[in-house]
Amino acid sequence: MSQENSRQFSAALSEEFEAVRLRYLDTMETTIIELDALLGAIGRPDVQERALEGIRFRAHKISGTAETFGYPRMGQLAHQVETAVDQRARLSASGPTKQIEALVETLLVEMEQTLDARVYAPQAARV
Amino acid sequence: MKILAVDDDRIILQLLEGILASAHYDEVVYCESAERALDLIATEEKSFSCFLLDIMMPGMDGIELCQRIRDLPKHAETPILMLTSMSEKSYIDRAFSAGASDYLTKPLDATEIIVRLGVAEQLMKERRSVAESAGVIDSLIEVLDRTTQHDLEEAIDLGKMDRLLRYPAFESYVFQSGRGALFLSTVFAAKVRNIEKLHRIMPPLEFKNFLRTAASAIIGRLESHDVYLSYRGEGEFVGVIPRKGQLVLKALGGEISIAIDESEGNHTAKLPATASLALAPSSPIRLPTRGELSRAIWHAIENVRRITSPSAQQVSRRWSAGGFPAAVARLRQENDDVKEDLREEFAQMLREQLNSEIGEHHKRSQISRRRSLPGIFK
Repeated sequence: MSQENSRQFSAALSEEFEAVRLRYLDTMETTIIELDALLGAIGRPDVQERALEGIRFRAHKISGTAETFGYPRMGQLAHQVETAVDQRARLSASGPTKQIEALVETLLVEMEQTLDARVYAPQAARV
Repeated sequence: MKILAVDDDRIILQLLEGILASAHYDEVVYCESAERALDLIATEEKSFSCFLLDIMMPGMDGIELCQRIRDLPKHAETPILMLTSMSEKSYIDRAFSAGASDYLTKPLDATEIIVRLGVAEQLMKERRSVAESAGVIDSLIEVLDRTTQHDLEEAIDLGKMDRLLRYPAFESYVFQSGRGALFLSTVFAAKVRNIEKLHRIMPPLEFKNFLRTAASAIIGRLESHDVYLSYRGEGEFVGVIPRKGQLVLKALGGEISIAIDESEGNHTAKLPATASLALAPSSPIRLPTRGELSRAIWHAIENVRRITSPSAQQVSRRWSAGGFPAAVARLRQENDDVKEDLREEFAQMLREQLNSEIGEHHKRSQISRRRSLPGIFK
């Protein structure tokens, strides 16, 4: 890519990226509500496994996208949640869930703070 | 380049759309499931030339989708780039086993995506170019095959090779080298066993190449002894070794094994891995005349035909099966043959020497003496 092409690419991408980032923040509210509901369901033995599976799936998505949009801490926390659910599944399917619940709680706080602040951290963005 | 991007996360698809549009990739189709992707692949009129696949998706995951795409003959070589978060590193090996070409890790980096897509595009262009070239080469080989069809009996020109002469040139070389140069020379013949079958199953160019390999194998083993060789058709070569040829050929053994290259091109043939080349000498020639050289060539050819004919091989197998007494009998027979050959050679040599040394005048004297002394030469 030539220097001129690169400059045009960056400019076009910045506009596109900003539009997608705003849509991402819009969907985050829904994700917070879903994660909160799943966190509440962990305590119910009849749906515990499905709840954990749902948490893992959402955490996986957040870990794959948050850093791209400039939220590296959110991405790291989501990754920790995903890893904790995987570890529990590997060690014992009926093991304790306290650590997972604590991590999800921390992730939710981070997501809520991000939404409240609506702060974009361009220095951390990958695009 | 027409791209299909598959990810169940709509935000990722939107992000990809932004990145790819900014880099002027305008022919991109986006979908949110592997099942939908397979439908699109099956129904799109213009084939996709690159795939971007998320690994973790509900239902069919990206690895299975990758495998299903690879199973389609038209996408056997199409670049497939997997999209994966860092936590899915363990899936990468499985993705490559399923046929993935490359992978991109999330968080997505726009520049990295564009660079990797550029590499994929370049790779695809090169593959297309190679495939087109291969097509052209195949057509040329077909034309060449048609125009290079030779009968088995034909003394094919095997091309330029050091010490390999076309048959007329070989005869000229032998006849014109002079008696001094060919003093004590040995004419020999070599024949490829089962040449009829090889000629039948090999495409013409491969047959010619095989004969070149055979010629090269003979020359390679006798190069240091100033050998000259020629192909005279029917899988038969004739050669001449100027001095002590009998000993050299004896040291070489009666057979040379030649590796056969795997058949290639559109009309591939199932070929044996090796072929065998039998060698047979004529008797050594002391002071050769033109007629004597011709006889020596034919003698060598007859010898080699005898040992490579199917009936000779049957006899040979029977001898091998006959155990020690049969082997002794065979050795005795061979010994007798050699003695007979030597006696014949010696007598011939004496006749020649007499002819050349005594000359016509002496002959006439002898004739007149014979007339005057009728009892001596009876």
